[in-house]
Amino acid sequence: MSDTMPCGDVLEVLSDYVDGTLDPGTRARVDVHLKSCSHCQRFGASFGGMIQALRATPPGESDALIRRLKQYVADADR
Amino acid sequence: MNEAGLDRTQFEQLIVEHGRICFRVARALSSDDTLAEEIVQNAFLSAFRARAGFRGQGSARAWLLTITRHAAYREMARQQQRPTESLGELGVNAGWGSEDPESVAIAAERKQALEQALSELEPADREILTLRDLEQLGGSETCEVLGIGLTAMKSRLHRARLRLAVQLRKGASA
Repeated sequence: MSDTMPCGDVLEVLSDYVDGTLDPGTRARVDVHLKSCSHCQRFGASFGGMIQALRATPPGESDALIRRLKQYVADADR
Repeated sequence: MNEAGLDRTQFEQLIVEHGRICFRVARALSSDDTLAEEIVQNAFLSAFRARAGFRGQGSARAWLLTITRHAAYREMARQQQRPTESLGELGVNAGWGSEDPESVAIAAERKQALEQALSELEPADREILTLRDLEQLGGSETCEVLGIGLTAMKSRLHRARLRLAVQLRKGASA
């Protein structure tokens, strides 16, 4: 029985693959597919790059927000 | 934390630790800074008044995020249910099988392009991307905040990521 994974199945598990949450057997099958399918390999790399860019987005300034929240709760509790 | 729940000082510390992420989730759901801050104010006030009932069961962050989400959905009209496109269709629109799939990652590297693409998404998609990818909450905590199971969470996340890729690709080709 062939272990070849169809491209559609790879697309379905791509987030889990990027997140490292696939079971070892499925991960190995995806690895095999990506070695021989340039379309899925290129898309997978780009998709992973997008997720990395999201994760690298800085959280943004929040000191003023925190001060306002504290003040709001304190004022409302008077 | 004592048996009577959180005291005022402890609650203020929660604001310091979790105010930013709660604002970010409220912002993801409301698409408006001013409304998001109102939502978070109401959420923290509700949480403050209910603080006696919090005795450390579960994470404080998940507790506050759950209250924030409920406050957000009370403030906004429910988004209309739209037909769910197939995963294959989403994939194709995101560049799967195309000649230039790299455009998605290239666009994502540009902060403005990424922000624009995020702003084009439905609130629920922005919400899960905020929790999992921007704030990097774990899977279990994300499930706890959203009130859904692991399989549903993973499916929602994958679709949200693909929809983001679709928007990035549209922006790159504009």
